[in-house]
Amino acid sequence: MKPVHATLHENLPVIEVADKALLDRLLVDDRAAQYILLRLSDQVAIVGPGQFDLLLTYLRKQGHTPKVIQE
Amino acid sequence: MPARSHRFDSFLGRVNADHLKPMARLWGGRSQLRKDECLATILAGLRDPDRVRAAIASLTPFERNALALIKQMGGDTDAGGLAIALRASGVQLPPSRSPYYDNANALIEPLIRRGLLLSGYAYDPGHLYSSSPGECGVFSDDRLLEYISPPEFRSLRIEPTIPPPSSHYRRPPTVVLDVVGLLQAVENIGGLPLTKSGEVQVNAMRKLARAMGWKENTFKVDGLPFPDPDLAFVNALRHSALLIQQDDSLRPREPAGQFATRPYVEQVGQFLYGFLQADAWSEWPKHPWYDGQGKHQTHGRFALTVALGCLPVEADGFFALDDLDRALYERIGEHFSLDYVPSRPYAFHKTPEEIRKEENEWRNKLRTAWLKRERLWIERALSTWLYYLGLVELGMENGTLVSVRLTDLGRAVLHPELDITFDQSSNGGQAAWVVQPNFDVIVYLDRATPKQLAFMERHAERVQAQQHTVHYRLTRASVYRGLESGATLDDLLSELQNSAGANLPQNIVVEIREWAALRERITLRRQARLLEFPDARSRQAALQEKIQGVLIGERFILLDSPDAPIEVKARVDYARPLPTCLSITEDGVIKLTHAAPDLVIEPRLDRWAERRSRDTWQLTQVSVTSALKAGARLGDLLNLLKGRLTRPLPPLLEIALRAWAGDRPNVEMETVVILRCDEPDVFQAIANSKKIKPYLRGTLAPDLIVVESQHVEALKERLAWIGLKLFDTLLIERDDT
Repeated sequence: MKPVHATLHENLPVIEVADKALLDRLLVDDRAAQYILLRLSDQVAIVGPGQFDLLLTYLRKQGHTPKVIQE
Repeated sequence: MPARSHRFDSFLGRVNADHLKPMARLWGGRSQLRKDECLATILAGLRDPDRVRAAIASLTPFERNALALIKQMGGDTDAGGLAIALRASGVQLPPSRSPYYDNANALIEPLIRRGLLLSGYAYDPGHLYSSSPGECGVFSDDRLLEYISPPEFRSLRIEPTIPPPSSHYRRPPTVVLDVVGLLQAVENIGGLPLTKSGEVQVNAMRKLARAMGWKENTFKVDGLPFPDPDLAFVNALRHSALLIQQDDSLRPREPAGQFATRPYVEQVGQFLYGFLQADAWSEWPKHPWYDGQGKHQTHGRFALTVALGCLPVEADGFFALDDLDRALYERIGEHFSLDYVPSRPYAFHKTPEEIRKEENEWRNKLRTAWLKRERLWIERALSTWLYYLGLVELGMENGTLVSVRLTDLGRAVLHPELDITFDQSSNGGQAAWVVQPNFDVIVYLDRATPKQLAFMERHAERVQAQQHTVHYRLTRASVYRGLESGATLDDLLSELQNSAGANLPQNIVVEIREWAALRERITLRRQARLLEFPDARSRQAALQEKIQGVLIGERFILLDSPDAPIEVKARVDYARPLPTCLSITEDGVIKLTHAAPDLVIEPRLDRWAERRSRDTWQLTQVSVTSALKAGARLGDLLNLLKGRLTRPLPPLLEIALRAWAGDRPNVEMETVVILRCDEPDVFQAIANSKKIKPYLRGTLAPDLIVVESQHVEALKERLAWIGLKLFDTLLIERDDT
């Protein structure tokens, strides 16, 4: 395979949601927004490296049941 | 048996040469061998299974029993415990050199000299510590233990007693349910974090107690109190190696579900030997003065377990507690105490009659003390861990423990030679549980396999356990936990239904599907792989190369495979420190020195500073305080800057950042008149003059005085009167370093 003209971001924590409105809501929640750094699309955003577990704990406390994929 | 590895190889070199010679004899070595020849002889023998078998065949029953007992303990224990267990086993002991000789010295040192054991004494593993030989660890070589049969337990000379009016008995599935539940609870709370000194953190213990439903410092097993369960179980699980240390936390060595599939005897046996070594826990609150380390209790547990192994196996009846107590006392009473064994009277210069009299008094004293302490402790030991583990059935009369017998599980664990097996694989086609429309699940312990119990522990909350049934409840949280542990929705529903032997209530299926769907609404990927392209066109071109992933926005692909090889222009690994790429000025202007390849630096700077251009930001009091108000911590900003700056953060800016965050150091500033004189004699004369003192405010440095501003003119006049040359300005050299 020839080299792809792209940057590979590895070990990057990411959040994906089923619908855009859910990510909208999380981003206006001050606490959740602290941990979510950059929205890449309607449904995907980057979580601050080192803040994955804080976000997970917060979401669970808020009653969400996020699916966690370790790899 | 705990999985620990023991080999003599790296220890033998530290054994004194005089001690090595007798050790080499076991392997055919002659007494004239040099140290290196002794070592070579012993190691060659240990490496050859035929010679190991031959060496074992040449051992006395006492020596074989010592190895068998240490094998049961996982290959190592402490000398005092092994010595007392050997006495409790009833095996013929070697003749004693002196009745005053210490237990461990008398019984264990000969085993070391024989080359069967080594001690944990770092300077000479061929010796026990001289100060406390009983607490010195000893171990044997795995290659010797491999060919050792189970220990020989000489039957106690006691007869069965009349059956008790009632008895307490725990069935193996109940025991295993508790052990699996315990491991599952540790798994569910994410392990038990350790302190720097290696103890489990207090909060973690509380969390475990909450998860297990233990209230305060005790819990009851079938009405029998079990003190400090958190301490007991964590200590025993740790010693049994069912919990092991991983990343500063204790975690199950294997998933609870996998552990559940092991035979009952293996599960309970391993936990039992953890209890025997759990020196941080006590069956009762009485801490004997002479047992600060809890070692005497562990020795007592070892001896009691061995004594239970010595109950006549051919008899099926109960044995009176009084008889068991007396029989055990007869074997170990003169050598063991939870506290302190008074010295035997000395016979020197005494007549046989005097000796007999003094020894009788000494024995009476021992027995009286035993009945007040060890006898009560035995009752506690039987009704706590030995009962919890399902090894003994307790005969009760009016709520008092009066007799005991081994259960089938107890016989199977203590007498592997009897080859007692339990059917754990099938439930005769009968339903293991009933799932009710209100989400309650009733599990029948005599029908459920350990694997089914582990499944239920993972996917439902345990409400109550009784002798024959366990009541669980399916909740959103428990189903979520089960799915997070790796189960799929289909696995969950089919196992629930198959083990129920009937269709699940429709509302249960609908609700569980709904809970599972909720879990799909948010996905958190801890270590995603993301490809970033310069533009949409180059991404489109890459897609022709069959890159597998999900398209994100216009420029990204979230790769499907966590480890598929891919050749790219650049890589950024967020698990490693990110490259330095920032410069900063003392007044808070941050600049990207070169385009940062990572995706996090710009959004992070946007949080803390005002963006001035594509590559420039300005830290201000307003920008920093608004980030802090939104919940960020100053430490995050300082770490970000320290990690990504190409040069150190200017100290004054760090002070400003801390001040903006509320940490404001005090500084004082005022316009003052200074008098300076660089001639020490003149300076002292002025500073100490009674006439001038009222004009001065104080000394600032060895050549500087602060003058009271309202007295400047008066001071000038005074200094002029003295005849000093007075200049109106201070000459200050600038420090430009």
